[in-house]
Amino acid sequence: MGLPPLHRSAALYLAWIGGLCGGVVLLLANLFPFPLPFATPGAFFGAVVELEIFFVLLIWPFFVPSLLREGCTAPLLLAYVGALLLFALPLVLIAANVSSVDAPGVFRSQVMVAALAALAAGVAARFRAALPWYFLAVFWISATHSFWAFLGQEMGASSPGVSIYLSPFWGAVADRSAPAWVQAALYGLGGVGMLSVPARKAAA
Amino acid sequence: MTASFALVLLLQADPQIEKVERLVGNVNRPLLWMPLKVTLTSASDFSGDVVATSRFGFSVARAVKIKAGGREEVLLPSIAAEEVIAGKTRFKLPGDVVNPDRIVLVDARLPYAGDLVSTEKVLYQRIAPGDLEKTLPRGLLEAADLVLVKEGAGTAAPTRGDAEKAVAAVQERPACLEAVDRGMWTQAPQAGWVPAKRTWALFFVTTYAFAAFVALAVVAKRFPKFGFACVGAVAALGIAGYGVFPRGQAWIVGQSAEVVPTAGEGREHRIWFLQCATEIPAAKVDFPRLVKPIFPTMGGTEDPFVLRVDDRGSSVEGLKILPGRPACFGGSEGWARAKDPEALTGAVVVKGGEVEGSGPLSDEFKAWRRFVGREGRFAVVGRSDRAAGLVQSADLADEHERPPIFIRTLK
Repeated sequence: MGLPPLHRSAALYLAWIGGLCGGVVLLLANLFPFPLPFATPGAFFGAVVELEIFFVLLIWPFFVPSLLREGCTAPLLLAYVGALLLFALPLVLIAANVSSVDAPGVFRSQVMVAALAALAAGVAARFRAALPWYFLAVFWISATHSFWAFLGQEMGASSPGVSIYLSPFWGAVADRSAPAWVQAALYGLGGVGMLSVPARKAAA
Repeated sequence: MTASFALVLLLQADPQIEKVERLVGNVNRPLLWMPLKVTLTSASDFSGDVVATSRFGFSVARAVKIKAGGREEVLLPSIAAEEVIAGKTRFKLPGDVVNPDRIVLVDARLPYAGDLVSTEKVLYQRIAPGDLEKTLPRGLLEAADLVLVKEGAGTAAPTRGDAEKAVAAVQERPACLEAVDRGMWTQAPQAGWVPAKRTWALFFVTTYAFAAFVALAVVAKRFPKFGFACVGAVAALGIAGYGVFPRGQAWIVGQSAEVVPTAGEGREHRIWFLQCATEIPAAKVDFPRLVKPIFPTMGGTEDPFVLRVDDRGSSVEGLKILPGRPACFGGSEGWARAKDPEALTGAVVVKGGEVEGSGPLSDEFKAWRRFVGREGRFAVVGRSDRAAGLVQSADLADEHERPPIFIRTLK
């Protein structure tokens, strides 16, 4: 039991850091023929955290099976999550500096990313067959609830007030801190719970 | 304890404002410096500020110390001053002002100084030599059309005949920076990223991604045992790199314009635009010279700030800056140049008040047009911005200067 040699999982780290750095370059380098309206200093931190959440929810689960095959145990996947957050820390600090986000805000966002990564790892490790349903659920919770609330705001339709406590992309950039903490607790406990369940019980 | 506190309060009583004089006379030139001479007396020791509030929404403050029973005269620069405040004592400035065509300041040492009589068109205002020395070099007498002096800076007129000739020869007051200048605001930087932070962030992410690739794809593959150490080392280097990342949220774009007449001393006007990426509720900015705020409209500012002056520079305190709503300050100083600069670009010649040629005019020329006058030459020295470090502020992340302007006035 232990972590596999690093070079076996290098693709994971390179995808992670490459995705984040590439996203930052796209935001800052004026590569498009038109200015990106959301690429503002005030929204920069939010954009970097959203990139992190996108990766841990939708890309990270694809790496989990190969890590398990190489001998990594499910609970040790949390060590990978920690390494990913450590790797991204300089970028997150720069983004927080640019957007004037204080230390509690940075901490909260990274706890939420870790919780979502634990959830994705738990699903991919213990319920691999359910991964398509997981992606559908992520899409439903992330996109549909936000769109529903948008329609509610713009057109007066009623939308559930609980959406902000479920949708990760929305909760991460909410003005209040409660949605991020609620989601971190909810998804984090779910993820850690799944990872700590013995494999046979989970399969049964 | 209470008794000693009461004693301190008693000793720190408010001073009395005995007199407030406008050095340039009771005239109405609201966009220019109009220095005040404030005479204060105090029965007890006083240490605090003398403040002149402006109708534009800001205040000019100067620190003063008066010994018990003492009397102090303070020269306080002001623009469109409404009230002078010392401690809790307030002095409302009278609103009865005149609008002469010409303001002529006369050095009180000149033998004919007391003989000159003001008319409806020309106001003669005597000024003490000490006040002249303290105000003229700093550009505080810019509201005057002519400063007649016995010797030194200004127009030397030892006899009354010389003075009359000089007054008759006055045509147009040299242009100076004004507290409201919409044209200058066309030069304001666009809102957005702090330039240094943007450049740093781009440099950092590309270097960091490259370092990560080398650590993971080369070093960790060759030495698998040290793989995680490599990741930790790259992350540690990244965090160390963050240590030198600019912290402030404000940046400054400056520009100087040197106006050199055919004879006599020239002046260097310098403006600074302060812009920010995220809101700064109360910035403190130290300028190397006396500056005045330059507003885009006569409305001035809705967020009051204090311009603190001393004998050399000036600083702005409690300045609120918002993204997309920069602040502009400008100041002038005397300037002596040995010869014209080289590598001039964007030259524009003005003759008889008209621009020669039919080419498109740059925004810079339009902004500084009035400094060229009726006959003169405008040019830009060099092409690219350069880093500068003239202004100090804890909120400052970046300061750079646009290519300077060189203006040779010919009449």
